[in-house]
Amino acid sequence: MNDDGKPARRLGGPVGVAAIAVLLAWATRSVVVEGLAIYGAGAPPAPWSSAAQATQVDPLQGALTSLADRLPPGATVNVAAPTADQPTAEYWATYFLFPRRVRITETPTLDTPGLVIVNAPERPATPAGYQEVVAVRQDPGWLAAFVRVAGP
Amino acid sequence: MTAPLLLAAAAVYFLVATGVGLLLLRLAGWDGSRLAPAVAPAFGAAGLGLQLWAFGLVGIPWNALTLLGPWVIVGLLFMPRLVRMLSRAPAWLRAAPRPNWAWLPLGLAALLVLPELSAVVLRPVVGNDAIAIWLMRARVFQDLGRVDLRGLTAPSRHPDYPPLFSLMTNSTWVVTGGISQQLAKATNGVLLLAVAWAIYRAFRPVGGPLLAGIGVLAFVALPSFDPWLYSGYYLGYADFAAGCWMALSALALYTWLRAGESIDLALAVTAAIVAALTKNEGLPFLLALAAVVVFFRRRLPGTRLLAVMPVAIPGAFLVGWRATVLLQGYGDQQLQGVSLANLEPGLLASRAVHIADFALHLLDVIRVDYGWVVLAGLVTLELALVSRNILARALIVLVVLQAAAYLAVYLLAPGDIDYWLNTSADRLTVQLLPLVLVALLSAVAPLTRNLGSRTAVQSVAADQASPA
Repeated sequence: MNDDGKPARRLGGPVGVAAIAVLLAWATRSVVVEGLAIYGAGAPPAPWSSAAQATQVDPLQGALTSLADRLPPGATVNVAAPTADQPTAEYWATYFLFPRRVRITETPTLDTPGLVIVNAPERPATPAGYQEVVAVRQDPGWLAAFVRVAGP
Repeated sequence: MTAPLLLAAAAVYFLVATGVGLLLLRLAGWDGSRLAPAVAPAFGAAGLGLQLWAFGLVGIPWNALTLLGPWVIVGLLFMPRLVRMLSRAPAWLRAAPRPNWAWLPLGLAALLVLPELSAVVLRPVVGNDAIAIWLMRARVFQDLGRVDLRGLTAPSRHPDYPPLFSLMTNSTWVVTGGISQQLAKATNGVLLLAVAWAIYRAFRPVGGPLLAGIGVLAFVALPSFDPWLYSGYYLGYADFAAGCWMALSALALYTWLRAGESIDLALAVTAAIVAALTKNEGLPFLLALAAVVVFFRRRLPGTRLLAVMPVAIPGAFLVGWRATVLLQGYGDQQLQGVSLANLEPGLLASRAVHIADFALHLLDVIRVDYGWVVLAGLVTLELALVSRNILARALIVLVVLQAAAYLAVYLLAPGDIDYWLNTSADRLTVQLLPLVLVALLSAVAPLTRNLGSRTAVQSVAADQASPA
């Protein structure tokens, strides 16, 4: 500020200076925080890297997509999941298997061309007449998807 | 699709949406607005979504030919005008601003926007609402060729949520000719660019290029947007889109109050209607906007009714949708049970303490934006009062009314207040953040006109010579 105080008036007095300071501080802090979130050492893998693919980030999505590739649109899929996991299992299965029909149960049944087992305590054995599509350890349990290769 | 193909498809969609948006604005007579080129991509994406909605109502099949064919014809009709515009391009280039300090924040903004846009397109959708609600709807709509929620009426699927966000996803699939859950999120990238560009267009004439550039940088760098734009949990959620529509509405309101052009008022109302067709939080915003317009319009010359008439088209969709919600009994979960009985003082006080406690734990100004929302809101309010800045006053009133609506629902809605806060406060903040930033910029803009530019006169001259 010079002697006649014009710059201060032009910037709206103390409140105006405070407002500009808030804007600059907010922008600077945002650039630093978001810049580190994108380019920093702990940043998530780049969007185009293989570590950012659905199969890595969301195994259930990856398993369902793999299963959908092997089943006709009219097929029915049994998704067996513990009660607590059933809402997520239903949302994911109805979307990623669409337009295939989805049946949610607590224990697996062997009467559908597709079978998905969510959160099994151990790696599920491949049922007779089915072929394993995906089996992956997904905290806290195992996730597996099977497709029927022969009638029960 | 591979990553390069996905990015190319998203770029094609952006160009198509921009073209359709420019034609829509021309048809409505709103292309003379200062914000027109900036809002065109967003208006185009929303217009394509509404077009699909209308096609479903009258049984026109959804495909690229039916969706884009009419726009090709409209484009050909406007071809002579387009040729005239292009022939003036050398004059625009001569009038384009020379390098100035605005290039520094804009360059930094580009370093953030490019990875954000890549992530918006390439990262998988992993969040519950994105899959259970928004993408699922888009798959069903795409399969049926119309808006039909009869198979998705479970309360957890939120049938009361409006359909436009999913229809915009459908528009990406129809334009690019394939269903891709990754491309489904491209519309959030379109909105990011539209709001950033609109901030620059709105504030450059008043605050100068440096402030406009800082405004763009402050918007695209907000860490609260990270889960929607980069790291990924909220990718495919509609909250960011609703916030962007509110921001576009606020920017158009600012432009209307500053220049008094009816077409900017029309843009503001249309963007607010689209916000209400994107998420239910857009409804109180539309009412807040109406209140602000009614209160501040006496300071402006008469509104040209003809210029505002096209607003009736998106308005009709909103009225139709609200009637459907009412007739089908798709009640809003958060609002069901809201009653004056909940105005019991003890309950209100208990909820207010919960909310205050929740907010106090979030005033970390380094990692999150809640504290900045409060700080920026307070300093804007004080500056608007001290400087008698009518534009900033109007915008801060808009912010306060919208925040009051959220607070009222938290106070009055039944259920577990902690659950509501934990599952929605960050998403509502994302809607308020751009509004608060726009209000702060409106308060600061008159103070910074000469900073970072050549002179105010040169700046305005270059601005006026640039294409609308």
